[in-house]
Amino acid sequence: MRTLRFLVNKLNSWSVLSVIFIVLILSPNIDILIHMFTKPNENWLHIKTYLLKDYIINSAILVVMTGVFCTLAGTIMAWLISAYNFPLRNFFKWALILPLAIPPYIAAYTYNGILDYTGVVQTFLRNDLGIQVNPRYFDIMSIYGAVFIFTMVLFPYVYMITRAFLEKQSASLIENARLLGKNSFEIFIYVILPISRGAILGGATLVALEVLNDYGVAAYFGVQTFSTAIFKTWFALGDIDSALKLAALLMLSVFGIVLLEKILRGRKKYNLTSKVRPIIRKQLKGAQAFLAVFICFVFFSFGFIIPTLQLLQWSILTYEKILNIYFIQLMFNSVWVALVASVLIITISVVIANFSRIEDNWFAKLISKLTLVGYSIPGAVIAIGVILFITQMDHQLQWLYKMIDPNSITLVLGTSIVMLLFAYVIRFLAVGYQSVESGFDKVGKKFFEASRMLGKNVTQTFIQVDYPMLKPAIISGFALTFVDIMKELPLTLILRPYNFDTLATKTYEYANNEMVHEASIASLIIILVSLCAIYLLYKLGDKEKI
Amino acid sequence: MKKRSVAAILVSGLIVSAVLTGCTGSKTTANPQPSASSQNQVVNVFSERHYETDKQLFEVFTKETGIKVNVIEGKADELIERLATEGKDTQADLFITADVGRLHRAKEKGLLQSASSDMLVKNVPENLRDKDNQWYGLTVRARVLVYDKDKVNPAQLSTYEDLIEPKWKGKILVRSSSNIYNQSLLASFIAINGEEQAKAWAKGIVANMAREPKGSDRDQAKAVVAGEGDLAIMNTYYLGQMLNSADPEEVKVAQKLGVFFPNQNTANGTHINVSGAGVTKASKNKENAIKLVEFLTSVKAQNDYAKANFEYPVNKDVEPSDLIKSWGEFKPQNINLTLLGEYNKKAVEIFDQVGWK
Amino acid sequence: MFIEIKGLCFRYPKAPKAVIEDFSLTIEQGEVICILGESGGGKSTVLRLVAGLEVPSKGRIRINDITMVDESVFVQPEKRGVGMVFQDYALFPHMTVAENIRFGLNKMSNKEKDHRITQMLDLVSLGDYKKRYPYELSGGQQQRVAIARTLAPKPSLLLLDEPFSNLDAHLRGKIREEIKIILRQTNITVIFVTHDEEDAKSMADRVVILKEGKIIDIADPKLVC
Repeated sequence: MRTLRFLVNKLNSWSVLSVIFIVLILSPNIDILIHMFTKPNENWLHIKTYLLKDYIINSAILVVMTGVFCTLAGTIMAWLISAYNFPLRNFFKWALILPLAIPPYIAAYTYNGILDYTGVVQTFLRNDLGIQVNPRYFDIMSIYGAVFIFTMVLFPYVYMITRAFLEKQSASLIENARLLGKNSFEIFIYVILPISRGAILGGATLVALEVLNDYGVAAYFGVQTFSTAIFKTWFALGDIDSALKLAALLMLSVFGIVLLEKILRGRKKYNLTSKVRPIIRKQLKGAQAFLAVFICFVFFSFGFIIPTLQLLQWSILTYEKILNIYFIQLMFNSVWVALVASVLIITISVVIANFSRIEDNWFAKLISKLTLVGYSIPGAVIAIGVILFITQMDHQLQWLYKMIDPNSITLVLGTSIVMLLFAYVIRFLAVGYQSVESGFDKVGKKFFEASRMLGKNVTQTFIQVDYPMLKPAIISGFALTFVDIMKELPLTLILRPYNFDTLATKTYEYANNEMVHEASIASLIIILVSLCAIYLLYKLGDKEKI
Repeated sequence: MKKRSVAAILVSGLIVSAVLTGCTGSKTTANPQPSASSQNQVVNVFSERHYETDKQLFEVFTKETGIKVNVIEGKADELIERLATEGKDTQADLFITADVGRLHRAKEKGLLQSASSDMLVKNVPENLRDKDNQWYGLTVRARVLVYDKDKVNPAQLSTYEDLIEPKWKGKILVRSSSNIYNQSLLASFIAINGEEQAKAWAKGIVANMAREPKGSDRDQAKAVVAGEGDLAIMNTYYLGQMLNSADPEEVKVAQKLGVFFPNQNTANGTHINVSGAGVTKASKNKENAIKLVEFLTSVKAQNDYAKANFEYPVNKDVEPSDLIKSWGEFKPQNINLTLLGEYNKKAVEIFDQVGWK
Repeated sequence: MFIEIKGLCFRYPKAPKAVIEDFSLTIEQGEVICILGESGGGKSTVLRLVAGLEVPSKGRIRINDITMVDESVFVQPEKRGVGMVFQDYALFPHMTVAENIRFGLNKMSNKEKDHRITQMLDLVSLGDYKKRYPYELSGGQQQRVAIARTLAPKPSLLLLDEPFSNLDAHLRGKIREEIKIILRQTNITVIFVTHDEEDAKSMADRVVILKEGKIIDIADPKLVC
């Protein structure tokens, strides 16, 4: 009887949907997980002897250094924007998100293009000033160069999430601290950092995951990381078992990071009360104002302006040869897949996050953690899992296809866009979910309970109470996933239907042929579209006056 | 009001995109149909080559034969995995890669089938096609030494083997071993000189490297001119691309560089590789696939196909472009390219053992 | 007998000690019950169990002869017809005062809803504040809105969680009197929890004294305090 009551009590559309979504997301990965437990073979020994140590050290250096720099940069700027008024503050408020529009691999190509022997810097020194410099000083192709690239394009994750959090904080906290005789620096260290810990860590986790999963930058700069190792083992050694073992190690480290985040975040939850008074910004003057502008400007320049200008110059060099009407089609393709996939991701995130908030038990926590699975597996590995899964689905659905069209081909889903969309959802669910979950965290459970007491069920409550309060989180989650999908490459490349090109695949096409200049136009359009998305969604988000 | 506008935007976006998914989805699924009906002839291609000329040639092919070419471009390794996973259900008919090692891998995995015709045999010389006719070379590229004409006297250059001599210490520039062209290069040495010597060579190169391997082939060329080293090991066509770059500074760099074909006076010549095509085992349009390969290796197509990317044509009846001719003629390695594929894995292991990053 | 709570137990998973142990109580229609105890003593948990926001590990709750929860039944909170005023009011920040009150009104025509809203706001003397947002109100005003919102759907039982804890001392007595009048006017059954004996004395018909999850006494407020 007790279990029956338990079941009836828990069975609602939210829990059922959550479980279905998670099962769908996990199933393509099951085959892969099974491989993990096969016996190590000679290749594994080879990897262990010659490579593993380097992989671990390099990946650790990349993740830790990038994580620390992004956290520092993101948090400081989030605090500056939330608590101070200075010239151009309103501009920087959203401009500092823009580096997210630049795919790391494009940033890597671009910065190397700027700094290498034929790049604008050395050329200027050589041709205009007559200085022959040691090219080693301008060599960005190293692990530290990679840290620089990642920091400059990924810090907005921390910045965005932390700023959104700080905006919801009550002014009284800071005013109290001020009255207790703390100066701005002390307030930042003793009040802001501790209360925004959850948000900062949420952003830092995204950064760490992006870095761990990167293939393009590491491969181009010749840095041996886990991702490059997985590809090498899989393709060059032709050993899928060992590759999956490496993937499993990567996954473990990802879960390690997530666990660390949970531990660091602690058990504290900071609910906002209904009487939030937003922080009143302090006017900065003179040197202080200059410093604030300077910090924001430096990061905005390195993260956005400089690479964009370089790409612009290259496109001026090549547009006659490259640009044609076909680019409109590319843009259109990129935008609508990103749009559809983001909507799906946000919907699923909302369902699962709401479920895990309501059912505060181990099962719900597990479900919520499983959303991260896709983010912890390299894109190419997901791709293969998805192809396998969809092919099986197609076989299961044969009867249906034959009923509709007797001449139907076998792979109906497998040659359609569904496959790609499905893979996007698996891959980027974590990004949307992090945002939505932090939104739920902020709102807390109180309004939900109040609404239930006023006679609304979970769904009505979501629509009338949770959704309006979650909107900023939903919008930022949407923007993040949209931009991420616009930039995505490995999945798009391998899972797209016939004759389906996007801006990212076009960029790859040229960059892979070492035609970096020719790749610039497609890159620029990716940046432009992402920029529009960020701006539009930012504007929608800004209108919220809750 | 505001709540509604956001919702409205999201919803209308969703609807619009759903409709579009419908359209594009049906369009893309309709295309790769098996060619049951004669008026709807297609050939579905998985390709690793991403050149504009490829697409233009496909259009010409369609115009001439009425066979529509559908393409998915991607990285060869992943396309192989996709082929393998889709198995007998795959819609792909033809697999095109930029390296023979991958063609061999596809063959080993049983993804290709034997396909032949008189014209193919005539178009593609024997050493540039698979011994079982499972793949055919489309274009040839040579992996050569590139040097700064101001600093290096080409008389000092002789063979790949010479590069491990102490006089080149700190002077060799080459990219990472994860690059397939390097793997095929070492595989050719295993085939010619045996594993021991090949390993000694790789070790010697690592000892003589000017810097850690990184970047692309073009980056190696720039590093030569920048003075980071004296010699770069790279493919010829990248130099061709640089000479025709939109960036005048790159052209300037490329003009300073000389091309040297090593091993001209030894039993074996300069290392070559091909981009090539193979008909898939599960092909549902085998005839059309063969027709496409015939077309791509024909005199007519080879002119554009090889020239556009500064590669060497496989078809002996076609002259290389003027630029390529200016680098002189050369004697290529005299081995069946199948061996490059067979020794690929060994090569990768050696690279790791000697610490070639 | 309007409410019957029998043998109610509640513990958090893995917690060594139960928060509520063997809590039994019957309440008559129109009675005002005060649960008095120190903070952390499980008072609020009793309210949450009655409301349906927590699921008891043992025990039974019946309201108006309908079983709300026992071994085999669990009625969702929105189906119980119970109203609750939260300690910090939980007024929806994105809705005006009127919208907050309208929120709980279901199955009514718009005209009826408008009428009811006006009626409720008159009851708590906030007729002019319809269009205000919660953050524009004082603490005392917010509390009155919260009560109006809770009473608007005419719940059969009203739960008040530490209703005066967020108010200034000098307001407390005044608002307590106001609330008392409002409650008397509606003749509703009430359970409220507090740690303040004054609250208990001035408002309750009976006082339940709770210590570490157990009832140690049920008595007349005048005798307790």
